[in-house]
Amino acid sequence: MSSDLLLDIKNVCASVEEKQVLKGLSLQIKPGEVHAIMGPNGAGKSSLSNVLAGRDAFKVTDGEIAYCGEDLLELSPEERAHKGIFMAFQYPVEIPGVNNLYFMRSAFNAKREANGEEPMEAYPFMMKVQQLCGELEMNPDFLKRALNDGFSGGEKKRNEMLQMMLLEPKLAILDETDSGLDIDALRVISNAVNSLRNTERSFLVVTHYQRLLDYIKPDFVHVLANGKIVKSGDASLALELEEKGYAWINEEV
Amino acid sequence: MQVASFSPNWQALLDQPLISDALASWQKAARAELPELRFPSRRDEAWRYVPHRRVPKLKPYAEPSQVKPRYDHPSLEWDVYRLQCIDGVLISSDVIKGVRITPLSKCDEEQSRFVAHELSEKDAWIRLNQACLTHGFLIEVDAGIKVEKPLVIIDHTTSQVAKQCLNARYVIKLGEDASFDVIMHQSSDSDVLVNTVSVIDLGQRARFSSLRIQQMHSEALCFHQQEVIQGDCSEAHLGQFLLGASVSRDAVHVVLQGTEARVELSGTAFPRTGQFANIYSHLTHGVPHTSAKQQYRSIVHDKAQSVFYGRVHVLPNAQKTASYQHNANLLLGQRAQANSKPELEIYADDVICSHGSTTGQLADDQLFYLRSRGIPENQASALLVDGFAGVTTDPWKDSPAYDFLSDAIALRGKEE
Repeated sequence: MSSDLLLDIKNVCASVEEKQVLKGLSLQIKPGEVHAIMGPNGAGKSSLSNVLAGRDAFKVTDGEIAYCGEDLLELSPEERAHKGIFMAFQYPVEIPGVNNLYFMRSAFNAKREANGEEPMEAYPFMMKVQQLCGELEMNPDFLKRALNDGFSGGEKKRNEMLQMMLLEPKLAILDETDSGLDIDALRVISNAVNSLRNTERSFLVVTHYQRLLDYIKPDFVHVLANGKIVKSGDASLALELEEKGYAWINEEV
Repeated sequence: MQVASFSPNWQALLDQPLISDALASWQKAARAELPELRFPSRRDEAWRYVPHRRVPKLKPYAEPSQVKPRYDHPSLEWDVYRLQCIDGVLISSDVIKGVRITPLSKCDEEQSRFVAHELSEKDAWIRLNQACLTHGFLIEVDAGIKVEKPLVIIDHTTSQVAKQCLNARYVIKLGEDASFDVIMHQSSDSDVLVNTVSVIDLGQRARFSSLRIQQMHSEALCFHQQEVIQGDCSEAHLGQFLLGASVSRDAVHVVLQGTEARVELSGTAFPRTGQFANIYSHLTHGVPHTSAKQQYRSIVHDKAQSVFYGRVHVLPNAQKTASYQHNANLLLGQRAQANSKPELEIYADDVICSHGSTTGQLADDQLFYLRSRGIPENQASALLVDGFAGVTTDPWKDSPAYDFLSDAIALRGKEE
């Protein structure tokens, strides 16, 4: 394995409830790269995100995943988060009764503590979050509410981006973050992602549509079909897919 | 079970000094009746699951010769009035303008007639309370008086009265347009049985709230029965949080007998391993245009048991009643048990009544969401447990006891 890889997925097979969802998927991501994963419904796009984030129900049956040279599959979801993996959920979970701000500070400080840093006090933390809310054109009142409880689709996705900006991941996985967003929200969310782009941080953008990639320019585009990557290319591949749909991929492979 | 079976020297129990001359005949009547009474058991629906076999052999109450006040009570940091009662002995009571706080032993004839209120629920525990009263107060709030700060009632027992049976009675009367808030904190350091009766009488347009936090010793037994009588346009908020005791039953009976009377009830029963906690609520909608909202939860550790029994009774003339009840239970172990029994008895036809009950475990997708953000699993579970109880603590956000209550619940979630 070359040491300059952030993520090295080798021939991974995974199943959920006995159903095989990834069937020998390989993908390499270097620091600073933006990779887009496209593909038809049921191709395994969300399965890939969930395997990387460590959801229990997704069992890896074969293959290896190295993250920063370490065996990712040995790490619990919280350890993955501490080491810089962040997944923006396709459907952020509503948690009534858990205060949004309190949750964010718990997450933020859990990561700091795991990395040997002092936890941040409530007041400076709130100032930091409020500033990020401004960047996301998000009403800070959402911080006072229960986590995602009763948030609209767009508000939930903004809240995901807020967490991403707070946690400053090394690898951010956006699992169909664009689904159900209007054009304004799409712009705001893309701006958030673009503002975080640098030579160290990588993104895995999982999406159905080319539209998001007009805002977030990927370095690489991969087509995922039937549990593996069947075609890879540069940004122009996304345009081709938009024009022709996914049917031709199946014919070609 | 009769009184003789849980107290070997029950005669000594009945020979305790009477609390006052003014209440003597009332107490004697109960003493005469008690030996023949059967204590509630599995045969009584309202007490069905209460493990009476765990009621130990009890000693009668003996007033300690020396009682130390609590200087460490959390309420010392709150902006409140305080009434402190340790081991059944009154330690201190703040003076509140327009409010008379009278120990039951000092009530005059007229006050005593009010204290001797006959509850609509009649069982042997209530009779025992009447017969063997150890302490309690009559609190009268004059008409039109709006008390700005809550009164914290600290009812604490120490190991000085271990294994004894204490019977407390709190009678609170609000005049018309009065407003009054009470925070009742009941705690103990040892295995006592505290059998409390509360009677609340609300005049027209009176507003009252009572937040009851029970944090008894893990071997203690705690029974509480409360009757709330509401006049026209009165408003009550009642909270019941059962965060201690080996066996705990907290019952409330609200009698909405004035039109436009409103009541909101919320509470959480949180028994630890091997413990039993029972919330019993009984609402009587007696006249037209009354409303009630109930939100109860239980969080049950492994091998613990909770019971929610919620009875809504709408009398034939009580048209336009609106009564909503919800109970949700969270099981934290394979052998945790939650029993939920909503019971609607409606004799009027133009009413809106609803009830719902759910029981489940911590949701995997919620746990994963929190963990994926770096929150360790045990902390994530604790957050979800707090969040689950949050629905019942939210109505108390403005109370000075809110942080204390939230912390107590959070701590209980981490105890196991």
